[in-house]
Amino acid sequence: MINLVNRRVVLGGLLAIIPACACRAFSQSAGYSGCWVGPSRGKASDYSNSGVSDITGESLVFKSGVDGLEAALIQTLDMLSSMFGVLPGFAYFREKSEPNAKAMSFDLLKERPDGTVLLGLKLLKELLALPEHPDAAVVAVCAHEFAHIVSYSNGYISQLTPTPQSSPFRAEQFADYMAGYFAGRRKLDRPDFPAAVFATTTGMYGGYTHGNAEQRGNAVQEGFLCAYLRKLEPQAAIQRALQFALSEEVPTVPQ
Amino acid sequence: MLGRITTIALTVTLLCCPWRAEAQEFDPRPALSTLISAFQHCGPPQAYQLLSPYLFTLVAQQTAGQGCYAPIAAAGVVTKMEVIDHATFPAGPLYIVRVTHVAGPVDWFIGFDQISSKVIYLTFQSVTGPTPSVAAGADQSANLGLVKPPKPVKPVDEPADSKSDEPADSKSASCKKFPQMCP
Repeated sequence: MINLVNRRVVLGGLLAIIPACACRAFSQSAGYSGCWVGPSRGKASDYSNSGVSDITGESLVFKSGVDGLEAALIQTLDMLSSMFGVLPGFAYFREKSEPNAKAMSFDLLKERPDGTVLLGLKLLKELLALPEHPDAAVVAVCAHEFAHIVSYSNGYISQLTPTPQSSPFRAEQFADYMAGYFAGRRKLDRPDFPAAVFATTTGMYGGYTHGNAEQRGNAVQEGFLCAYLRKLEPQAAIQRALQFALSEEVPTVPQ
Repeated sequence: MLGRITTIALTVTLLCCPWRAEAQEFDPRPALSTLISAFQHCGPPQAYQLLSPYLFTLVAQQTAGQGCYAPIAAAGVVTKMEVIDHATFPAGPLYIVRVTHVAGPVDWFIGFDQISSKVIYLTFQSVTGPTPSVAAGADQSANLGLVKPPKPVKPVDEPADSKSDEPADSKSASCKKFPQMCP
């Protein structure tokens, strides 16, 4: 018999995925910002000069503190990674201000050279308190952030936000569309999958930069139908998401 | 202490509803042997390519990048490996392999992705009670509280079994707003 040591200490229980992309994103819109997208290609040196260096002061954490969440979420992140063809790092962070999630083109976790998705603990708590399928709401946010990683990885971000002054709106529409696509694929696998929660969740966090609730929900729904009805493969869906996002009129700045 | 259980990684297989049980042709032992050896000897690096990206990262994190586990190394040379149960799930096949080290036997649970053939589930527990089965799942403590067998852990986005107070999807508020997403 083996005398095995209890290894709770070493079992970090983390899901730090691995990355692939090029650009950065972080959010600064009103309410939940999701992610602010900058057009420059990602380098860590850009990061500190981008005006978002304060997030380095937002401590990263590798456990949510939610019982059982990591074990379950890890499967879903794996699905996202496989479906979208990207492998970003993943961790949680403690927001200094409003609830948020982030997708960055560079490897904040120093594990892989590509990109990172961060889910804020405040946002997580807020999502888990939702009355309707809070677990799906968490996945909706993760899917949105993973979709940003896709746009960095394939370079579409330069079309979605061509200049530093560009509104991130189209990048957000792209990400919402792909989140909806993921929901549609899951719905095909599991007819009871609460896909509509993706649309309402993103809509909750609407705003000027990300689009209002209707715009966001519509993008999610279009992505959903792309998967569920048209049954497009992921690469075709990504193309469709780009077309969709570019066809959307960027909202004017509210006076 | 006997009965103390160790887990290497936490990815979860769906321990419910095997849809067929025809994985006899695939032998999980070479992959498991390679991994155990790597966990004992901190390499070679290519051994870890058997792991899914998540497990790879988890192992790296759990071992501070070293890739080896002292308790597994302490178990010594493997003298025998025997598949004692298996089942095939939508995600891929899951096996329980009783691995006899010079220090004694350990039951390993190893699951493979059916598409990539990467290892997506890996845990082990010491041999203490009845012969484990896929249906029963790993011992409760094998997953250090992050997985709660025997109740299957589902992907986080799957509806829970027992939330009867939640609205049926087709009647939910979200479905009322977005009926096209609730066919």
